[in-house]
Amino acid sequence: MIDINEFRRNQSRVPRAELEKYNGQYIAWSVDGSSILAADADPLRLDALLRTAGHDPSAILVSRVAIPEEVSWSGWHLAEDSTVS
Amino acid sequence: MIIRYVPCPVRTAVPALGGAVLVPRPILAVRITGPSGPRLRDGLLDTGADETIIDPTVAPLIGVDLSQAPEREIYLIGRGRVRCRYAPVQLRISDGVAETYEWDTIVGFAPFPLLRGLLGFAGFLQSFNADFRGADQEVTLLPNALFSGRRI
Repeated sequence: MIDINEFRRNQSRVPRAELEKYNGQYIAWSVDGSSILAADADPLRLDALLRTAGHDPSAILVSRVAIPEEVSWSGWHLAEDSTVS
Repeated sequence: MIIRYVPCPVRTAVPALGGAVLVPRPILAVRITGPSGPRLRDGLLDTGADETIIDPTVAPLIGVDLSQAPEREIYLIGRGRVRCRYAPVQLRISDGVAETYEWDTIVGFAPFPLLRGLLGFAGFLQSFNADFRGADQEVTLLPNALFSGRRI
């Protein structure tokens, strides 16, 4: 189980330049949020990659990288609206 | 359960935040379980959302067949009316230390990929009292009388 506040602390320390390498892709985070285990533009392929690498995809937080995001007046953030600038 | 806001880099500076290009958002990891198992995804706590909406790319991974799911029209700012499909799932949130809550509900699956789910009133916020503390950039979630799930 992920200690979510520790995870977020570690996640926030990952350099922006590192995340930008994965812009537009889905990334799988390590359980402590300090590193990226795998990435792919297709979430189904990412799931398969995780399995192949011996990870349990159900226990891994996957998010989509969009840097920067748009400032929004609603909670909706469409993946297609946050492509690389 | 106390959840820290997540700083999100944004394209344009926000004047009321002193020109900041990092916007703190109440983002929460949610375990979404369907017939074939769970997956963990981020969701945004959104008091302006009437419903809880999930990224549709999760559906095949948890065994939800959206082709058979009931559909209805919703209004999406900037897009107008779009059709959203609905299916029962189990949601679980946890701080990973002391508190875990799990409940069954019905969520909408957006008709296009989302950066993260929307944790709105129906299916999520209806069951919790949420205290958004902007100065601390934290939100406290406490299950309320409508919470029909279980604490683990």
